[in-house]
Amino acid sequence: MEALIQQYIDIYYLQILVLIGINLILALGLNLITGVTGQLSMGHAGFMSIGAYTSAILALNFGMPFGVCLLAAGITAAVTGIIIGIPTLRLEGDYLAMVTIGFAEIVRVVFLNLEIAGRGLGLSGIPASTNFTVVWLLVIIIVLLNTGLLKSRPGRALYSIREDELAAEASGVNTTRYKVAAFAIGTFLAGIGGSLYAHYLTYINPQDFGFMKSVEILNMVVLGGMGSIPGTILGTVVLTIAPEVLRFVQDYRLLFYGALLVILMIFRPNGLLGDVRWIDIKRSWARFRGRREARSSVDG
Amino acid sequence: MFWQQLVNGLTLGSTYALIALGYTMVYGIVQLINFAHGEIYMFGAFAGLFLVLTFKINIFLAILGAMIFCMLLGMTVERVAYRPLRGSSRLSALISAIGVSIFLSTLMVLVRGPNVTSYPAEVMEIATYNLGAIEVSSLQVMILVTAGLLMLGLEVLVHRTKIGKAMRACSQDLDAARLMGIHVDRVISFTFALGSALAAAGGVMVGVYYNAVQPYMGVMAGLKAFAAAVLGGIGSIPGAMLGGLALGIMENLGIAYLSSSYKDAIAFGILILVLLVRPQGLLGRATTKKV
Amino acid sequence: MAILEVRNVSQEFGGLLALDRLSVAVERGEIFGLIGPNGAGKTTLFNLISGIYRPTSGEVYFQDRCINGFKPHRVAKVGIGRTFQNVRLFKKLSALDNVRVGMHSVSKAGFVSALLHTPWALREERSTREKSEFLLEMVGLADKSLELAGSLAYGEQRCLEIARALALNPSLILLDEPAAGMNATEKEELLGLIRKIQEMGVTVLLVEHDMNVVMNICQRIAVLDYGRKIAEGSPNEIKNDEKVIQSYLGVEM
Repeated sequence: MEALIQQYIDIYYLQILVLIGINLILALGLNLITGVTGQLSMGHAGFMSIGAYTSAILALNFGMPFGVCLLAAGITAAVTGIIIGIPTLRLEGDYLAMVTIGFAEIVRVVFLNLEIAGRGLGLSGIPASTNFTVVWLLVIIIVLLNTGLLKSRPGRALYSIREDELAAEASGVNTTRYKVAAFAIGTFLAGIGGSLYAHYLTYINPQDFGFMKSVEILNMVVLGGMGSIPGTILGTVVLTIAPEVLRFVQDYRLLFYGALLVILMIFRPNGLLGDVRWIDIKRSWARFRGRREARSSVDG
Repeated sequence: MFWQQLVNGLTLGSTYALIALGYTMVYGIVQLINFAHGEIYMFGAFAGLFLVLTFKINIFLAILGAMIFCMLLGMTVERVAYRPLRGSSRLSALISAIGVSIFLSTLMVLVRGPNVTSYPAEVMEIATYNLGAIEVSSLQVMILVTAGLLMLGLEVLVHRTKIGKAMRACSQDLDAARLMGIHVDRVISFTFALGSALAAAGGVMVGVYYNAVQPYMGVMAGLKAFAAAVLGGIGSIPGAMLGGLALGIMENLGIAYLSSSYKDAIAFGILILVLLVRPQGLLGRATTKKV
Repeated sequence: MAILEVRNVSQEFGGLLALDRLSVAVERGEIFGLIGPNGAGKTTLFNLISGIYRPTSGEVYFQDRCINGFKPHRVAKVGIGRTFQNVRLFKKLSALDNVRVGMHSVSKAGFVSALLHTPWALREERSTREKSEFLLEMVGLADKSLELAGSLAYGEQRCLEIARALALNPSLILLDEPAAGMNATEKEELLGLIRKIQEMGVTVLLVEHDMNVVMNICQRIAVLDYGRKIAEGSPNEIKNDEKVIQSYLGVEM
């Protein structure tokens, strides 16, 4: 399958597509936590790193098959997520953001000092098990599951927490349980993304998973439209391709990201696609067609 | 050994306290965690450095200059990035704050490069005093005294002046304060200015104390100061002071008796512990919000 | 039989006594009104019953069971629904979704069953949708079901909140100033709605400032002032009570 694809798509574009896919998985995870449930998590890269290192270590030191490594990466990340999530999300207030920043930093320091993680040099020679097929198969599955989730009872509960946590509680939603659940799923996806990343680049070190990575992923979620899957996809595609296109302004990239967040929040908090709903598109289309028919009946 | 660490801890702790005060005051009045606060502290350190290098002034004037600069910076940030979002969701304001934080730190990297610089030695004459087994440097004394005076000044301002009363009123009930004729926008600006000034002072002092100034110094310091504010009770001014000092002491004891490579983890660990055991902090009241 | 019993309840907020040894009992099936000047503690009492606060002293009994310290979602589960003084809708969700969230505690589909699209989960989704549409119809919002809650008119928003509260199949519903901001026609419709709720078998505890509404529809009324109950009785008794008239100085009844 992979060889077939490589025949049709140039290797450079293939690389970008794989990166988009990995970023999508990361962004969809963060979207569930922040966009849908309204809990700002600023440590997504930390969970990604846990997934990456878990996966890499299992492959390098224990010779585990990729499927096992991938799953273990997700589970480890999710378990850590639950551990720091429960005390933090139990409270009403915005502690999660600070806690996750601190957590990601601690994770970075831990891996920097851990023998088995290669310390400052990181890990290399990771089996290159990630390819276009694997990534996009996962992306499709995750998008489908995600879309289904958001239309269901638990999905509505998550949205209600973002909108008004108190009213959600009064309506019978156990907000703590759902916040932790969203966080667990989101960090699981971060772990998966991390594993895919590690087995694609075949080399990881603690620097790859710094605060700025968390910021990038947040931007992808926010740009397209928080809480909206099509929005997250749009944001991810744009912000994965942009650095390639704008390579010459590399240094100013973060400046731009920072300003973008502020500007978006003030002028278009729902992102590029945020306010537009499927039903609005249907209505506009119906109106457009109505006008056309009226015009033709006048002429005729 | 213990007493030495105590002295070191109090010194470090006073700087944490100065930064923590900014977090707690802003949170108390607009319920926003000002992520950019750490960057304002960093700008303070650089502002002081700039003044010292350009005008060859001493440390006290540098502190003063940095405080003025950061007051303006803090007020500008509030005006541009937070005020437009005051009616919007909490999440929007938080994200905007993160945006400002990234913008400011990247700006400094672009302007001054990512490397560590330091204050020239002439900024302050350092003498050491020996009190029994403890070595105290004049720099430490200066930090303790200056921080102490600033905090005292803050207490006086908050409890004995009209603007202080307005601040307290706003932190209790913003709408009621507005109905009483208090100019809420001005009070909020003032609160930001105050917190930024204190952080700036902390920045200069830390810059001189550790002989290092770099664009990302605000990230860790901000995080730790936030932990300190939560420890003391977020929203409580004496809490921030207490939390800062306590954190400084605990961190120093941790470095001395545990390991130093995980010293940053101490603040984080304390944060989680507080949230687990007593989320309102040491001095915070378990407030029941008005619904 | 009393469905709700508030026994000697006090609520303190850092030195301020919002409720002072308050006792009141609401009989099953009645429409009970709670009136009093602003700051008298009416909303505080609501918040206490619905689990947002834990009483400083005293107990709240619902269907003979002490619900002190129950978190709000648990209070909803045992069958108490409520609306808020400042309407708290899920603004970016549709009206239909708002009501469907209200049905959260009477449905079961979790993450796994939702993802697997099991037949019973699908059946539950369908029945949730039907019941929600029924409730929207009942409050007159059937044609607005897909509109965003935040874009509805104020009176419509209040009705939507009532629909959401009814969705959890409550035995008791707390209505906090439902008539606020409504015009005369809307108030008439509201009275009809509240009567319909009573016919459904739901007990209604109502906080209201509009005396016409209160006198018209409540079987019994309690009057609060400074956190204490100063009078209780039928509308007629309350109308003529000295203490009530005094505390409402200047208000035409």
